[in-house]
Amino acid sequence: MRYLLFASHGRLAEGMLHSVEMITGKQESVWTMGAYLEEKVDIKSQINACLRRLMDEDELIVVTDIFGGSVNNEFMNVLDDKRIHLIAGLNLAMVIELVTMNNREKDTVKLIKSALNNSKSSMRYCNLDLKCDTDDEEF
Amino acid sequence: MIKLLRVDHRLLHGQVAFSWTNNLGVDSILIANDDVPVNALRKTTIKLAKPQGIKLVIKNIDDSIAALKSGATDKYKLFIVVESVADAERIVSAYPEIKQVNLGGIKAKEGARNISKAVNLLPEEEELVKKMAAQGVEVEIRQVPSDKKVIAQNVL
Repeated sequence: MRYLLFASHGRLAEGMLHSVEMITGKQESVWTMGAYLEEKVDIKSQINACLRRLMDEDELIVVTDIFGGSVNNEFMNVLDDKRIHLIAGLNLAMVIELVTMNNREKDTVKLIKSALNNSKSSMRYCNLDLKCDTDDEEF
Repeated sequence: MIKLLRVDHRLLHGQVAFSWTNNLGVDSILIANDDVPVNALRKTTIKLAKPQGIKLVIKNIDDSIAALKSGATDKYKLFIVVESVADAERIVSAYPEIKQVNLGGIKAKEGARNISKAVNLLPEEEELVKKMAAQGVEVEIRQVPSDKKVIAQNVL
């Protein structure tokens, strides 16, 4: 089984899942982790709790909120575990692609590369887009 | 090959663009609507919502029917989106090869009855749904592909 984990400072991760499910329907294979919500809980133990849910043959695609942030940094430390793929830069366009293609693309590396490429082009200065109208397509 | 005809008052937006095209495995989307081809802002906005690698064609209803009948669409795995039950019925009546209509989102308006989450029908629209069903078309309600199909006739 291939699982997704959204991880963030605070509640972004659970909010992201809420928005994703509004668009794609209920997701059973997506987990979330919000760091620093309680003072006594540290990230390492939260990460370990997630990893304990994985079977040997499972894979986990972790998507953290920001590259260089402490949440992402902590996940960097567990990358020797080959079941884990780590992406930084949680955003809705990317995770919708990951979620909707998860069952269709068997190759995890391809899935991640394609989701990253496609979502990069979805960050736009829309005022400029309105000015450059593209040609109409035909059958 | 027509994968699905969907009625959605928002036409092409996140839900449709990503969820449905990926789930149906389509390579082409037809927006059939009489306003969009002549409404520059609406047309641009719809073009911007187009998923990567998918062909997007925008035509009024008559031209859409003509394209379907001409066979020009046969080689595509096509997803048709219209904004109203009336537009869906026009296309289905003119092109009986379409056997499935999905009611995705029809907004509440004066005199309309809520028959399911996000689907509100006027009495005349209910009649059109019954007419399509009588022609052997499966009219089903789902917002997103993973929702359970509800047959529209059963909730009228």
